[in-house]
Amino acid sequence: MYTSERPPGVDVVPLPAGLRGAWRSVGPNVWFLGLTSLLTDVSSEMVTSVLPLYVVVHLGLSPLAFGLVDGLQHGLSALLRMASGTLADRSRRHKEVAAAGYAVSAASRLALLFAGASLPGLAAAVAADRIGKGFRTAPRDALISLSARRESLGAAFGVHRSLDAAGAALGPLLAFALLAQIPNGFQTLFGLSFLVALAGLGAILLLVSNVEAPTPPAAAGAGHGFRALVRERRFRSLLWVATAVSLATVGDGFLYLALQRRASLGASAFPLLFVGTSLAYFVLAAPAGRLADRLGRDRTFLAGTLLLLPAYATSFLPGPDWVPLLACMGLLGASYAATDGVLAAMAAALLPPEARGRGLALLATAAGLARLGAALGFGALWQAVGFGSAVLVFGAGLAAALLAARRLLAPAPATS
Amino acid sequence: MIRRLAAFATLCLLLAGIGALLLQQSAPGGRPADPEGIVPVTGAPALARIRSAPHLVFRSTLQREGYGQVALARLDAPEERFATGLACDRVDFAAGRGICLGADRGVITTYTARIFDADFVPGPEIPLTGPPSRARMSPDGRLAAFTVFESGHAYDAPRFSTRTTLVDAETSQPIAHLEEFEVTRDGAPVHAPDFNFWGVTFADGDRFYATLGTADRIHLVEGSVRQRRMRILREGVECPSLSPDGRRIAYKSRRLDGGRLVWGLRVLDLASGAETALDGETRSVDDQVAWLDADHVMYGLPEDRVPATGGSDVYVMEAQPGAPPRLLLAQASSPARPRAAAAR
Repeated sequence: MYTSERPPGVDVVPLPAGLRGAWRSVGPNVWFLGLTSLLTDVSSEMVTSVLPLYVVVHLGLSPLAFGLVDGLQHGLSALLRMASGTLADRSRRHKEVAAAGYAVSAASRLALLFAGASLPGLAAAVAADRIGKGFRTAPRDALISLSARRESLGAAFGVHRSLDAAGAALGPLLAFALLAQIPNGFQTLFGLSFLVALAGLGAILLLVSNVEAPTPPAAAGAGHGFRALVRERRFRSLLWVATAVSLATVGDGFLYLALQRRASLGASAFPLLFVGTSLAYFVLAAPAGRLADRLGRDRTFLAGTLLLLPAYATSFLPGPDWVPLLACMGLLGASYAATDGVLAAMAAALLPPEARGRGLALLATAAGLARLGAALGFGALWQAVGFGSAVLVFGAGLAAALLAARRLLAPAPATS
Repeated sequence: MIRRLAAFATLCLLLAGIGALLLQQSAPGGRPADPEGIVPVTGAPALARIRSAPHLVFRSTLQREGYGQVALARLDAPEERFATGLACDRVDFAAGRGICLGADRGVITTYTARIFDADFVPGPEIPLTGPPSRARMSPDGRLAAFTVFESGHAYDAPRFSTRTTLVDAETSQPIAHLEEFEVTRDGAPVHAPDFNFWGVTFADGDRFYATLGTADRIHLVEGSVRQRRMRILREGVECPSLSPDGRRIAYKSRRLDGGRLVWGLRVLDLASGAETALDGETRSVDDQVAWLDADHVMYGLPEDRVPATGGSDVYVMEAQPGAPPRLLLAQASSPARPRAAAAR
């Protein structure tokens, strides 16, 4: 069984006693990758949360054109993810490949600064940010998995996802605080966002190290192409599980939209709902990862997915409007905490070290495309039969997907 | 590792320093005197002096005290600017009353509309459901109309829509949303779920024109507030603005330029149906224009100064083909010309 080596020079850094356990169990590389993600997410959420509605309106794209562009960007992002995963596996330079993605995102902020009032320039900058995001995810997740011991993979992804969520929650708050101080301070905001992105790029380049995966004698690289990965039974099962669950997932945007209508919140309160979910995700991701390592990742993943059902049900809750809002944000955050990083850990435990980039890219792409399909399907269903019936259909679908997932994952022996 | 940590800490300190500098630079009031030569004036005598002559009411984007406020300036001495203390994103003023669409920017940004009086004292707040876009008073000051962008009319998140509301300016009470009015084409009622209305312009205390958008087409409608009815007049007229004599409508006309939506200004003669392109202005104008007088239109454009300040400028031009635009007010948007013929 493969166990990664700890990068040298770890224990030089003094830490408060409480953190030392967590630091030791996942290693500094994971924390630094988390720091990179935190800074990058602060930077990107600062911008996306305030790009005002009227910019979208004034872009002059029809809803169909907007959907097309959005779909193209998702497709491009998926292709890039596969390419960067392969590149990272072949070159063994996960850090540099991921850093290239972070650099593209940082550069997109600079483009935003110079795009000024030019709306195509603005759209191009946003697209460049997404391209960078697509490029960096697979090598980064592979590096996280290579940096952690096999028995603490869940904790490692938990720590990373927690820091990532912290950035996603902080970004909008910072942006709104800044705009409250400086009216129309968008240029300042874009400038600050660029600086934060540079700090993120600095974190990965200066602090993160590549981890040497030992080369198994037989592996000449050809044995772990995408086709070979899919042929592996247990990894294929995991792909099916991720796809099935994602296909029955109601996007959080839809749930918030329903709750927003019911509570008659202004459109402007919308970003705050994502902040709330990110906060719950931030608090719960690391404990959920450790729990998964101890009690079994499969079980934690299934339990986390199950939490989506009460989250769907919140929109039918009686009582004052803030009750379902809080419940929905908490349940969604808890569900993400118990599924997203845990799924990556499950995959990493099945994949040979030299195919982690490709394998994780494939998993994320399958889940992403399924989620895109689910969003289109749910939108159409909502329009056709109303929100309540659409949620019931998706809830039933999720229950079925869960039963299937339990069967597919069943023969898995304990992973630790 | 220690050396790398030190390098990272140095980088962060450096970036924080640049950030602090950036913040200091862009804080309101932190800029040197503006190059436009605008002189802020204060006090009741200054206001009386401006109001004693033909003047404009507008939103000032001057980067100093008074940023984002309703301001006044005389036409014959536009460099003197009086800021009223009333902060609005969009403003209109007629016959001693105005409408102010504003934003309270916080963690949750909320938007409100308020009717204000001749002393710029605002009445009760009317909550808005989205960011403000257009605002108009009727010439007699009795009616107001505003348009906001709104999400949530449609089921899928990337789709956005507008909502237009009519307000009794004497009581600050909303009368109706245009979405509730009956629409006819050639006498027959028409309706579609994707009807969107925006950009009202009033002829008097009842009759108005507006834009109806449906199925990717733009229509000019004429309506009556009392009859709660609108009829479709013609296609392609967006954000109409009725001339003071009620004979012509200036509007923005959309077209694709290299895959990008741009707007040119045009004028429609209501009696003859003849259209004229105001092609002296070659930039894209995304604004509901206002009439300065019977022959001139004015409109806001995002600034082209370097470095950018996030402001906009108001231009004026004769409503004739080929007439060149000229800068009327620097660092201003949402211009209105209070009519001398006050109805009250």
